[in-house]
Amino acid sequence: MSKDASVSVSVSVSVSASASASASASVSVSVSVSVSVSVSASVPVPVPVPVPVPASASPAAPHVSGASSAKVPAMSRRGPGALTAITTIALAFALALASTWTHLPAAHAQDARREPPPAPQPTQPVVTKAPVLLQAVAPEYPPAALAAGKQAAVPVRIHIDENGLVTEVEVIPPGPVGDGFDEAAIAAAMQYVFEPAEIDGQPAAIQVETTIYFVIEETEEPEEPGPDPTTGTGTGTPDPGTTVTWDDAEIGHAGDPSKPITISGEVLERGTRSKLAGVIVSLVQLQLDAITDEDGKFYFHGVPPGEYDVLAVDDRYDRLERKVELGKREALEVRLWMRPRGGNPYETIIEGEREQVEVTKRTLQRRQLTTVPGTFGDPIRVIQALPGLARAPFSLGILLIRGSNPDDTGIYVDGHRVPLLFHFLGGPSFLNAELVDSIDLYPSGFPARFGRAHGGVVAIESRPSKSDGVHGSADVDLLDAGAYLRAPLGKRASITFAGRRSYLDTFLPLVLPEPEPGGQLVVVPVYWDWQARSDVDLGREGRASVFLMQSSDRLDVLSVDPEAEEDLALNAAIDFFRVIGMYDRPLSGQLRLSLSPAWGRDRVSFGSGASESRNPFLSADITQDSISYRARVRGPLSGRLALDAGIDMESRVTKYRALAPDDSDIRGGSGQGIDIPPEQLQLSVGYLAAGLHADLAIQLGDVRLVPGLRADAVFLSGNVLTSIDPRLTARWALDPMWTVKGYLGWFHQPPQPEAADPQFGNPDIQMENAVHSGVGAEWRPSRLWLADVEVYYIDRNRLVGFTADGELDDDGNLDTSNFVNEGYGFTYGLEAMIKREISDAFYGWLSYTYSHSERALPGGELLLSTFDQTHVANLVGSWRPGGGFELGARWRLATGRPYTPVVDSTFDADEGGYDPVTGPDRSQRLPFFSQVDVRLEKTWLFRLWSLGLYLDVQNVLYTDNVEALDYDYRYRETSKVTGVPILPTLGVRGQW
Amino acid sequence: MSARAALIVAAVAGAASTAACSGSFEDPAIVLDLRQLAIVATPPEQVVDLDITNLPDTPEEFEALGLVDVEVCALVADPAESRRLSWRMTACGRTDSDRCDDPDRPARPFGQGALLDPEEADDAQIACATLPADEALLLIIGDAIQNDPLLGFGQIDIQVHVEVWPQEWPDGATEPVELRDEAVHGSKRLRFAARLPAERVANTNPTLTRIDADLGDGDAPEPLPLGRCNDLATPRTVSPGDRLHLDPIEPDGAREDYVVPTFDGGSRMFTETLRYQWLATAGSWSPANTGGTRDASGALPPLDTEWIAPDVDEVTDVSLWVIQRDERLGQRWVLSCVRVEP
Repeated sequence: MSKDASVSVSVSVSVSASASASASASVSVSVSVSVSVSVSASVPVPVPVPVPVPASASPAAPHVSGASSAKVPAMSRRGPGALTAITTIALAFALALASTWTHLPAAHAQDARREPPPAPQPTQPVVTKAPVLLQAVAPEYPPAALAAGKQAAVPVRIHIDENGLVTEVEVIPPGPVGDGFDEAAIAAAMQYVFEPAEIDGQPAAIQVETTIYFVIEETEEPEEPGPDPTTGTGTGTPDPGTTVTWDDAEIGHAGDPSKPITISGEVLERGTRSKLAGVIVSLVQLQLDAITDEDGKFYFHGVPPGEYDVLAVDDRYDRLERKVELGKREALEVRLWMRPRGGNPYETIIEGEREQVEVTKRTLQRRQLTTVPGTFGDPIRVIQALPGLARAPFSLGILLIRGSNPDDTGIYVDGHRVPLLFHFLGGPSFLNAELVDSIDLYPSGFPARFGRAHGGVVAIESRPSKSDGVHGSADVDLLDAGAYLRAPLGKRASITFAGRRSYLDTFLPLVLPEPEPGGQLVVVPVYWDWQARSDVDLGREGRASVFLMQSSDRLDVLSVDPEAEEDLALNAAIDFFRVIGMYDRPLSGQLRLSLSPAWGRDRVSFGSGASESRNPFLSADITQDSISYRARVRGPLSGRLALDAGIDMESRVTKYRALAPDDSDIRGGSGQGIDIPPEQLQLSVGYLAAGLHADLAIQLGDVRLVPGLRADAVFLSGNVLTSIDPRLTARWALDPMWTVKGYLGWFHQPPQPEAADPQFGNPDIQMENAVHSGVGAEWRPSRLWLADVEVYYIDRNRLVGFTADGELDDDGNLDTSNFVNEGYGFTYGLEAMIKREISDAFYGWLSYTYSHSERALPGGELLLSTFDQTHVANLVGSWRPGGGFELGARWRLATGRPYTPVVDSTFDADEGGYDPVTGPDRSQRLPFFSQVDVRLEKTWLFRLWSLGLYLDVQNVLYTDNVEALDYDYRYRETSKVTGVPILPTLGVRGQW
Repeated sequence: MSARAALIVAAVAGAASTAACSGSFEDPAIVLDLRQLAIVATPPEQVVDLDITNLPDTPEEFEALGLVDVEVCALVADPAESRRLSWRMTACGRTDSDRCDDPDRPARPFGQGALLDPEEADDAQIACATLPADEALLLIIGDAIQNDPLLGFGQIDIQVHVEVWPQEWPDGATEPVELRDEAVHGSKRLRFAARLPAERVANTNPTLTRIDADLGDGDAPEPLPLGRCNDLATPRTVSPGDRLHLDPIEPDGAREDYVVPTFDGGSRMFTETLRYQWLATAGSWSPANTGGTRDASGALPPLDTEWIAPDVDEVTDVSLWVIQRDERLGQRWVLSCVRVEP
């Protein structure tokens, strides 16, 4: 049963948005959407307590302070240069916390719609906490109304359930207002997320009333930045003697701008010293609010001497209150340090699509990803817990996306290919977490700007450096240590360095026992990486940056058989270097142009020393120099069209050097024990690829269509391989909660250069191709929750594979092509994900993948793919109980990968060993994989820095997960090769 | 390239980690139960005037090939049991299992028999049979060519499948119970090649002059007496834990030169390498395999090894086997016995 109760809640609103219209006359047109809430709440009250309880009966009273008691009166001053009305909606508002009411009783009188507060009755339920807006969504300004210059105020009533979710929004009198404003307001309000109200200390459903304002504001921007307000030269500070109304003031200022600034300051995040924009700073006694600007600054004009309570409120941070005293003829500067909610600056959630252009793109935001258990704080490793990815055996870090081979997946950093994502044997990613801005995982159906790959795509965008002071972090754990430092280079430029080095190879020998004859081999990965990035803000000319990175991996053998005459000289190493330049600038309207050249060198070496086995090669060294270039134009063309088009070029020269016996012209060769002295073999293969791509997003009502086209030409071994890849994705928003989606596209991938080599490969080799198709649906009942399900089918053809077959030519000589386009395969599956976005205390997701993948080698039959895993599930959750603690857990489940059983063996008298007799190919599977990882982190926040101590334990239940089977020499006995037994890692991380 | 190369390196890393984690298994160089240790074919290879694209289909053409019978002998050990064994040999084209178990392809059983206990019998027990050079063999060669991805270019191998299984003699029985389920299987390839290039000659089995043995005590090495423990009245004697150094001595010319055709119609000449596999019924080897192709520096690896005598409480005779192989299917074995006296 529901009974009415009156609750007053205030909303303050600020508005800010601008866009350059031209170089000579910069005009900004802002659409301000302001919300004023005066709440008459209908509170479901449990029977038998039927009496409505007014909010004012509670100790807390609503606060509507200063100008935010109603909508901010948007200035309407059309400048002479108002040429273009490209609008941007910016919405920044906050509900005053319930606790705020206590301090601001004077606000009562400003809420005209509030019911007179009846006297409190002790037996009646009491609203002990008002709903707090956690997440707001800017409404879409009705295009027709915008074009007609219409403005509106839409009064709405929002029904919020006990979980803080909006269940209904209705327009209330004097509405509706028409012109599409009502629908836009409802659509936006349905996506609000609240911290639930509490009645008698328990979460309860409630209703709030609010008004959503649609105001068109056009202001002329100064062509040059104004003087610093704190020094009398700042932006927005009125000239002395000029009468300026409040409406003329810039963000950050409050009070009568014609008067001098008497109280100013900045708001910073405790622990990181990040400057916080958008924080409401109030002088309680004066009911005066300012909202911090981009630099976290705020300014109060004309404040009379006296004692004041300064209150800083932001829904991401704990409320901060501080007393200040302003003397006569004084100006006071205040620095406010805000503590992140939960006391932990390392937030973690997993984001959905940022741009709804692609049907299936899973985006991870850097700041949200450092606390997922089992990842040791590495945000990129989180992608391994997303649907679509199979589990890599031995934590190898290879990407197994929707049944594709690992080398069918493209890995990009800022649009340029890199050879790998993770260091060896389950090591971390090669990029410092602080340098990662976002990670996009495209399991299929990726946009046209990605090409020459037919598996999936992982695209990492690096984080621009900022010139906002010196910041850094350092972390040390049992496996490696890393550091990050960012510093300004003047006002418009900055530079960032980061690096990491593992040290298992240094410390493990100290604790390993002396090796025994025939003892086990201990191989440890040794890795390091570094990155450097510099950014320059060119103002209206855009931004420029240069990003350098290098990564190195090698394997060290720590323990060998001391009695063996020939050690296993294991040699496997890979390193790569990239330098990526980027220039990004506005082009026209909202279009942006980015130009990005890159140069890189990859080096891979692997080999086997003199061992007892007869190896076909002794060592190989592959060096690849690559130059790539991207030019991209992207952005909206109109309200209904958006474009993403460009050029994607890449040139590679791959040099193979191998110390190996040259047996390419005879049968058998060294593999059959023919003594051929090794010699240095050299091979160089050139590769040039040029691609054009375009995606056009078309909004047709609730349907968004994105047709795309990509054309590639690849020059390889004297041949030109061409491909045309049409692609189409579509999304249809059935209602604010339900969206259906689908895609269909063609994808081509050139063969590896060695496969096309005239001597060792087949110069007639063609591109591999695949067709991706899928349909799915999303259900987003609130901003906090999302359910996503998708079914897909991928058809792969003309796959390149090795063949031993040869053909006799007319002269009776044998022609061996080695590589042919005769492989094929398919994958189908279902992926589902339910996730809860981050809130104050909890985040998590459950992902599930069903997959079936088969592949046929040239001349062979369809078999299960090597890494096929029917079921893969990940359950991830993290909870912040407060006090700087965070406790997380991850549970991974996966079907074991297929293998071919060995049923017997045959003695091979010519070799002296045994050959296995196998059962049906890939007819059995390894046991189910199950692993639970946990993470406990405690963060201490100091004013200038923060310190985090974490314990990350992989496989905390000590599950014996079988990764492979090992056999004795006669294949009679079997040994299970298990993965990580239990791996606790203790680490400490400092950030400033 | 990079992604694939990275994958290769990751696979190497994975293999390394697998190697690091593998379990503890029986030493393959120590013979504990019923095993085939070597199979010798004489001759191991035949070079004939064979046109692989036009096999003979008349008796005259077949005769003209000059194929000869092949004797196949299998060395069997069964140190754990005292029992008789049965054996059987079958020839067929090569299969994935190394056995003649494909009912759709031609196969020819050409020998079977029984052996007394290999260690206890008064005479050496060797399973031998002769594969006749007849049209059935030609049929097998033709089948092998059809299933060869290189269509018989350079050579074509067929295989001999050798099965050995124990017999059980229940009390009072006049016929043994054949324990076929306990069969051990072995495979030996037989090579046939066209005379291409014209100077190509067939391989022969390698030879070995002797095996020198010393204990590293400064005494001159002595030839290791050859034969089974049952055959040797005075085997070489060592103490538990002794390291008996063994060095195979090859006669001059043991490593033959030979030519093979190249895909482009030419030829290349090579010299054989010889490999040695060392086996025993007890103790351990360091290393258990010697010889083979040259290493990265171009040096041929050493041939010698050490046998570490087992720690025993009573006089124990240990059988030693040395299997010599070349890369052209040539093979030879010698056996010896060492007495360990505490």
